[in-house]
Amino acid sequence: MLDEEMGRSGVFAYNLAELHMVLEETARLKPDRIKQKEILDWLEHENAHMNVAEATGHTGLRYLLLCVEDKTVPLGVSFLPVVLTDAPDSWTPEEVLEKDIQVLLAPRAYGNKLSPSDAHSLLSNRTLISKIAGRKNSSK
Amino acid sequence: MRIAIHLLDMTIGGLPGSSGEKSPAEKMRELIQMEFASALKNPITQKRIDEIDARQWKINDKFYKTGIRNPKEEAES
Repeated sequence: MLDEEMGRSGVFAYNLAELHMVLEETARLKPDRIKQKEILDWLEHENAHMNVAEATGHTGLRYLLLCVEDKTVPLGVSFLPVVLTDAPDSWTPEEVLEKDIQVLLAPRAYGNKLSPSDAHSLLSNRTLISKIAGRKNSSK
Repeated sequence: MRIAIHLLDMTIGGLPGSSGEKSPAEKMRELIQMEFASALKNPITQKRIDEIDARQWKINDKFYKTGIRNPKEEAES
């Protein structure tokens, strides 16, 4: 259901070559704003997330470039590239959170920077892990 | 390796004038342009992204608290 909705407002890509073509299209649509440097930076950042997500065993991996309504910019949309992942059913809550943290931190490990949303999710995941550990300790 | 083969295939198929048929890369680019045209007409709002995030957090939070997943709820999200 979510994929369907996202698909209406964005473009999915299932490998790096496809993502490159999708990002090049953004530059064609906004030549004054999006240059090769931005495209390479996006590719590097999302590819880092994807590489680590593959290594951690996440499933359902795909890239998505979302068109987000924004009246302040040309075309009335901003572009938001994301990597979507699923966690296998067999993972415990701690495993899900710890592996998500690895995926969130991936750009830094590859020499890129974390996005504000990466940093926000990272903080939330770490807080949740502490809460789960606290609950476990108090029930002992 | 799969990506390398895919790229090679696109390069060969993409040589200009090599045949009247469209290369895989050209077909893919056309598909992407069509999807863009549709997405640009239906951009998502930041409010809707926040709603989706909040719903996802709610579902995940239940799982983090109980360790039990709810496949029905996850499928509907």
